Amino acid sequence: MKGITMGAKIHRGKLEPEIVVLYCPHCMGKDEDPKAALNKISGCKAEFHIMPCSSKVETSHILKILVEGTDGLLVVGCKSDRCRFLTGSAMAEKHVDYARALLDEIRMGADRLRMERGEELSSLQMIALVQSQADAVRALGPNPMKGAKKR
Amino acid sequence: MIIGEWKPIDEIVTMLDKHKNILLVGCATCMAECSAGGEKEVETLAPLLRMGMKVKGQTINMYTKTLERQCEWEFIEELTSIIPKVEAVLSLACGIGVQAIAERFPEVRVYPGVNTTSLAIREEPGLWAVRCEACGDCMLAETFGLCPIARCAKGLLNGPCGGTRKDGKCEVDENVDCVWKLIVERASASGRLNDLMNIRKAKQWSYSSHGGQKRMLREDLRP
Repeated sequence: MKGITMGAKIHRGKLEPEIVVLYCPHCMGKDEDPKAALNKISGCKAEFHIMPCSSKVETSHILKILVEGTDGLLVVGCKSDRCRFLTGSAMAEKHVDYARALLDEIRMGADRLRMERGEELSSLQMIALVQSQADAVRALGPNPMKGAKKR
Repeated sequence: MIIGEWKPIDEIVTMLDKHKNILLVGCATCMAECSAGGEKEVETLAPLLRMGMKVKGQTINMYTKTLERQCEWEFIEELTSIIPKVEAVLSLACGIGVQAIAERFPEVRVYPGVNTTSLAIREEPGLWAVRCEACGDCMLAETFGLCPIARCAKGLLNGPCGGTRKDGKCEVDENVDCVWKLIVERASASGRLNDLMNIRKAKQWSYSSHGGQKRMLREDLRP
């Protein structure tokens, strides 16, 4: 996840947000790879990162990604009764809720971050989730950290 | 351990308003244990503050460092090389650490990022409860290892009061056990219930937080 840098674009007056997706591979269907469906995305840019379990997404990871200028973040975990770590996706939800509250507190907009749960997701379903997160982020505008120095 | 929690982010952002180069210092002992100021919290708060300041239109340079302890002079020395680069330090230590850094490095402004609350134990993940008020005249031997100063809402030395709920909880907080009920149960279980009838000498409150700064002197350890 280190060094994620993408450039948000304004296309025909419309923000094309950059969305980073952190997802548990077990919520995807067999042989489904969202990276292979990147060409189906329109109006935004996406970057996919597999996590060993969505619970491994810490609040500090989320904030580090956002401080580097990413416009929005989507965490995708398994449905609660399908989590192989039993409480993994429930813990992820708590981390995300906490980070959303912090983003609200600094007025960055909690909706830059969202968690979804899925089961046997197809790549196209994952792309649809990205597109809907891009819509939410578009309403907030670009990340004010875009172009800021690293430190 | 000493426990504390982050100050509201708005309060921190306002405190740091006039500074551009800021050092955020964590403490890997008590504040790490209570998830308020260890390395993980430093890594969380640093990007959060950078974003919070940016939203207010201010760009800052944030340096980070986590010391093993901020309450020992030897460990604080690790900051010597970073201090010349910054105008302000935000400490995630308890009040002792904040004061130690301010005393060692008077050339920079030092701010607390944490409200230090008490001496507590982690009862469950994510739940800490006060166990000690550092009153200076420990009476745990007489109360079967349960402190009524820290754990009784009224600080009673001759409880229980008449307000204990039927389920044994405190009348002030339904989530807290009446400590005097626990003391009586423990005394009873060890067959020493009558010990609670002993007359105790008046507690020496002058060792508590009254009467000025407390100091402890050990001549055998002094140079």
